[in-house]
Amino acid sequence: MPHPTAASGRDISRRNRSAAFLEGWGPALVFLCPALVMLCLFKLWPIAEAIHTSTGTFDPGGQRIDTAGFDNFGFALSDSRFQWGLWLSLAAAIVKVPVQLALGLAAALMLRANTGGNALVRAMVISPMFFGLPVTTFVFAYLFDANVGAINAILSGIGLPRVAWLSTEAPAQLLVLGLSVWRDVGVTMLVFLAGLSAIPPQIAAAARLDGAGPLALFFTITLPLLARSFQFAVVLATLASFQILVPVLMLTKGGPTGATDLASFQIYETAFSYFDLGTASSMSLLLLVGLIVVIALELRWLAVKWTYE
Amino acid sequence: MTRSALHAEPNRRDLLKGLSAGVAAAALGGLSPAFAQSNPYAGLKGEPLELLIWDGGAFVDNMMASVQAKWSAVGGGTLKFRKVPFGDLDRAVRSANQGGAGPDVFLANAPNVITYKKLGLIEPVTDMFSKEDLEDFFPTVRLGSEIDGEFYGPSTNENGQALYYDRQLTDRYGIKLPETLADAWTWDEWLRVFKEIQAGERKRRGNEQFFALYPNMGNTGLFFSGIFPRSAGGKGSNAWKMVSDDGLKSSGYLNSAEALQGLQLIQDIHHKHAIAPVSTQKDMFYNDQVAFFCGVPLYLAPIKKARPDIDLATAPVPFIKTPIIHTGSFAWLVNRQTAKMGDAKLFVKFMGSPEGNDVVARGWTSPPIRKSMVADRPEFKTKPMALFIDSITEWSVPRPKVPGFSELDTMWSRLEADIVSGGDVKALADDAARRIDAQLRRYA
Repeated sequence: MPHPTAASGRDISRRNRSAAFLEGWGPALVFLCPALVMLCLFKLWPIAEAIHTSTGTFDPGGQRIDTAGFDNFGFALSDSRFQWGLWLSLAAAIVKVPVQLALGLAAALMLRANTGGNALVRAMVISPMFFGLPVTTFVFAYLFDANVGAINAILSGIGLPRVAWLSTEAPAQLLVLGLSVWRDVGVTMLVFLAGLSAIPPQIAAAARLDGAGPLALFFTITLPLLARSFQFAVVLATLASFQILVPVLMLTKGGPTGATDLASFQIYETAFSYFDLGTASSMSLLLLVGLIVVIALELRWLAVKWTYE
Repeated sequence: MTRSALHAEPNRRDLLKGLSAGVAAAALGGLSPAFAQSNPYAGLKGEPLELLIWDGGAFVDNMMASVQAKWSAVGGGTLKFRKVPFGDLDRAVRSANQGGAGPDVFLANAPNVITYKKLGLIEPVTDMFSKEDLEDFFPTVRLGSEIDGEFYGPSTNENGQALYYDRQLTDRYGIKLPETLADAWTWDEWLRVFKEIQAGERKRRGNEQFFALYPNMGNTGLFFSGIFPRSAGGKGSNAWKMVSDDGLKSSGYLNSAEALQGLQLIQDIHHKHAIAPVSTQKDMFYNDQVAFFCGVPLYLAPIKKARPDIDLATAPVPFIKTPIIHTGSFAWLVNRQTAKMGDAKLFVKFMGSPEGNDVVARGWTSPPIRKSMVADRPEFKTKPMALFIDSITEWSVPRPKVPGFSELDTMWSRLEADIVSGGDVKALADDAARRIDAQLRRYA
């Protein structure tokens, strides 16, 4: 039987430790609590739900009827269409990310000065984000229609052949990616504008005194000091590349002949057109793992090893 | 007092009045049980009902307001609407009961009736309709909603198919087109006319973007384009069926040799013959950019609005071997888990009655679901719209009756788009059939 004094001593000690812990972490937890609740509710819980769903078999009415273990993952990975979708999503990221970064950076460099005109143009570059994506996609569908679209009318007017934008493979891919870049380039521009404004002007001034020209200034001062913004913009653009859905859903439905059959669209179709929730969840988890790997590699390659002193 | 007593004394006329009233009261009293029996909505409690419908904006809202007025007049309760976007309707019905009993009545895409029956979502309403009612429906209304001898709900309207065109345009080329199903042309005969008119109009207009035919593909599933492979086979052939009798297999049907002929024609009208635009913008006919528009009666109103000056005419749709059109629309279905089963079933009965169906069919400018009601719609008894009724009675079949119709329709749309884009027809059809089979197997 423990000695009463010793037991109460342990209690006091435990209380002291708790008090000490709360003193250190308590205020932090209070401030972190809303974010933690949101994180659990909108991130961790859906992921946990997706993991649970991925291990089930569902009837076409969406009811779980059996446990599938890892069969859904095996099915998804062995499906040639999903394999194609994963490669296509990766290819989309490889094309979209550099183009979006280049355009976003160019826009930020050109519009960095705080003038009224620049503010207006910045607002115009960002404006596609304000319109609903279905609306802009609908407008694109009309603009790029093969027979009645304005773009083909212009091409035809200047003597160029019409393009079947939505029913030819390469143009359809170009259109889906173009729409995605057009919509997202404003975010990239904002990231770079923030990065440019954080570069101390003295550094550029000192470089100019040392005789650096505009190109040297850009490549030796601006670009290296934008590394953190660059890293952030790359991650954002990569995430957006793997999430392209609405343009495919509304313009091409994965076609023509699978040319825009991105993994994200396949997941949507499997879940909401074929009602195969187990397979769709396993596909989304596989895509998530792939995305984590890609972003981890990007973060490693783009790791910033300097700080402002 | 004296005056009152005097006036209270009955005279001869008062006696006659009293006798008449007594006879009338006796007659009404005697008839009242019979009257109650003939009341088609006896047992109606007037409970509020929730309806799952698609959000069609003011157009559908106005129509449903009229339905509410007529439903109230027969003793029905308030109708509450749960609206979903059209593209989400199937998903909404499938998941309607997942969080407890859902809406009492569904307005669902008619070909999905068999799916919902298979998933145990809907209640039969056979007892709501007499033999005469069922025989008065156009045959496809029954065919579409009748499963294992039970009737699950009437459609909102019927849907014939025909080619709309401007007779002034064909007169310009001295072309006489068939006007009745008896004179209907095959694709070979039509192609000659399509090419002649297209070439002539392009030259006259100096516009290479004028086309002979808008076949209405791209966003209508297999409603229009599905008749290409089905028409290529003889009645009862695998191509004509499109799927096996048990509705679980498309291999050997969708990609049979005859069906491939029909699928190839879809590609050829866009490329080899180039008489149809690849564009899926439906307003090409409204804008006078195509000569012929494969459509349903619903398009009559927008055509008249967009082109009031044309001499609107209709012609039977082309066929390869067997004349065929798809029909069917939306169906009123009772949720099997509703707590208001009595009123929900009576509501569906009401929507299948002449007074209930008239509101919706007129709202959709479409033929009603009952043969007897066509007589009340003079526009469907005369040219050019009479052809739609003829196509319903003589050529129409429901879309393939398969559990998992929406999966089939989704994959069909993909196949159709790939064929239109110029892909290898056989390879695409084989791949589509394999994938469709995998989905349909889930309903076995």
